[in-house]
Amino acid sequence: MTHYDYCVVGSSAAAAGAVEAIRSVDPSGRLAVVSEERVAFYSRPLLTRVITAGASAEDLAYRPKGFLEENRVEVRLGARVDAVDHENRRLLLSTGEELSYGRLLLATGSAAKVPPVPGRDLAGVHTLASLADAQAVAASLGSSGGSTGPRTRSAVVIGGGLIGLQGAEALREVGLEVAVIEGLDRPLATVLDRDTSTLVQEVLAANGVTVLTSQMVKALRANPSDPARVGSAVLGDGRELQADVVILATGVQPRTELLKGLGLAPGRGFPVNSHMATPWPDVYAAGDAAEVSDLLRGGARPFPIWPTAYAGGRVAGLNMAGQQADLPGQVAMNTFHFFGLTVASAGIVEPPADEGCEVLTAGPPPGRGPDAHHRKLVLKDGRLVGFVCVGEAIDRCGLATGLIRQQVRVEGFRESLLKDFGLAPWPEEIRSKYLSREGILS
Amino acid sequence: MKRVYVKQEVCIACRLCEVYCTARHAEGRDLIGAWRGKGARPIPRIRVEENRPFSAAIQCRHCAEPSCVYACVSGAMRRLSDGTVQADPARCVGCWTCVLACPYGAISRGVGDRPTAVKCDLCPGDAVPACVAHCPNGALEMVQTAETRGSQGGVAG
Ligand SMILES: Cc1cc2nc3c(=O)[nH]c(=O)nc-3n(C[C@H](O)[C@H](O)[C@H](O)COP(=O)(O)OP(=O)(O)OC[C@H]3O[C@@H](n4cnc5c(N)ncnc54)[C@H](O)[C@@H]3O)c2cc1C
Repeated sequence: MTHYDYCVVGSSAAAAGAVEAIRSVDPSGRLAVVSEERVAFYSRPLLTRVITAGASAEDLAYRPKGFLEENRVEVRLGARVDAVDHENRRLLLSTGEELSYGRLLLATGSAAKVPPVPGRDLAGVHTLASLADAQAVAASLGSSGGSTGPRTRSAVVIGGGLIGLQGAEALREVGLEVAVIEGLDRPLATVLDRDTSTLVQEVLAANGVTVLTSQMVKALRANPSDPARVGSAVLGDGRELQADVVILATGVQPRTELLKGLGLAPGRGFPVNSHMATPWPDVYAAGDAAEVSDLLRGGARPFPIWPTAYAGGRVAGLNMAGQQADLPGQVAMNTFHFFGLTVASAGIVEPPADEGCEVLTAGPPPGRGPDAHHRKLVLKDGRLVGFVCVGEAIDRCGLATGLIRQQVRVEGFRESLLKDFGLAPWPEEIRSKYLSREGILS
Repeated sequence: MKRVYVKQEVCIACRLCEVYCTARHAEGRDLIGAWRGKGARPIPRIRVEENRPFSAAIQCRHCAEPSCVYACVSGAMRRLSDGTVQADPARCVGCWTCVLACPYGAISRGVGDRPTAVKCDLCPGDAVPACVAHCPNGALEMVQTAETRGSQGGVAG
């Protein structure tokens, strides 16, 4: 059995943050990264490039060649960790190997939820969560004509969240007819406000991607001329849509199977404190798999976004290597790109009526096409708690993200935030803090 | 590590820092070429903000705990061993997550067919960045600071 001072399960955003943090403190401790995937440290958010541009694993590399050597990471790929024996500080790998650890990070991420729709096991039905998934979608397209018969012409995407819509755009870009089936009454309902998600829906429609809302897929049916493959999707209202390829994108859930002993409720992530430590000694967790504190709403929940995964992994790594670091309360943030439309959002974007938030908007209402310059701010108790920017209005929007994170009172200059993000109209005492040598970040 | 700080009391908003930043990052690294040459004129990586009597030039602070680096989904934005934060145009996919993350608003969207993130690079190879060298009022100061990892406490997530 090999001993490592540090073991990291997973090799994505949170793992990268941890590796870089550990090495900034401890250049020599033995460090192992174990991943069931064949490729380590690639950019998951860029996966659709495999479909649209035939991107290879190297094209998606998140860190330059030599990253593993430089950081003296001993990596085990294609190896799943099947069990954590936290009493004896051991990991059991699917390869039969056992590792012992000083400190352990569970950066196991999330898994695509697979809806229990009949026919989901047919060939041509995919999730879009990993490089292997994206490669399988690309292979499924059989764009060369291939041996599987007629060219792939139509796709159905189940789920109108970020991943579903990214997948839909990619399939459209390679020439397919694409329909997205969304159960709620609008796409991106959990991450964007109603006006902007309606705009996204219109832009998709104008570019040949139909989003059918308040609709479900009852069953996937085999292709009569190739019964092992999917051929159509039957909707809740009985309609049948041709579907030579299907992407299941009904959300993700934290992968917490390695701490079964904690008795976590399904769908919940690993509980961690601000050091990213789990209740088990010397076991840390970060990334999509962990529940971190929510700055704006209080409590803890998973923030399944890359920035939170990296930052959480970094904090875990610093603590694992013996430094004190805390992850601050997190704020959701995302950028969206669909057929030339650019949207950036952070925080609370569609506040429930009873939350006492105030909404300010500027620019033409969203819905005037990709060039629309639109900005929406959400305020509560004199502080900015969320915003959505469309088109050029995204410029310098990080200033607004910073105001949310630092919970700055913005009463005195809130109107300026609707026009242009910049320090000039802000009160002198805030401006000076930004311009001082200490600045606002360490 | 190099850092550039602004003395707002003496900034007169002449915008020569923007001009010389543009020139420094143009292909021929010269003023005439940048404005009258064939290539696209680079966007300045420093930006003067003005609200009389206030004015100050704003640029990347090369934070020790850089939100942009943590947020970057492609790996294009990195903190290098010399302590500078650099955007690699070859790896940038123009998703603008860094724009959304930078609390100073110091990252711009580039232009062209495949726009990428544009920010202060502290003029690699030059003893003094162009903005500092050409500020007529000494409003931009280059300071050498000791290496710090940053976070003894928090990490901006
Ligand atoms: C198509 C797509 C697009 C996205 N776009 C964006 C975007 O634009 N912006 C954004 O912020 N986020 C985006 N995300 C989300 C982002 O990719 C995730 O938040 C991020 O990858 C989470 O990183 P992580 O380190 O927590 O884990 P993950 O990236 O989920 O990686 C976890 C790794 O651990 C491995 N693993 C799990 N369990 C084990 C085990 N027992 N043994 C061995 N290995 C194991 C998994 O195979 C996986 O490789 C996107 C995600 C997808 C799928």
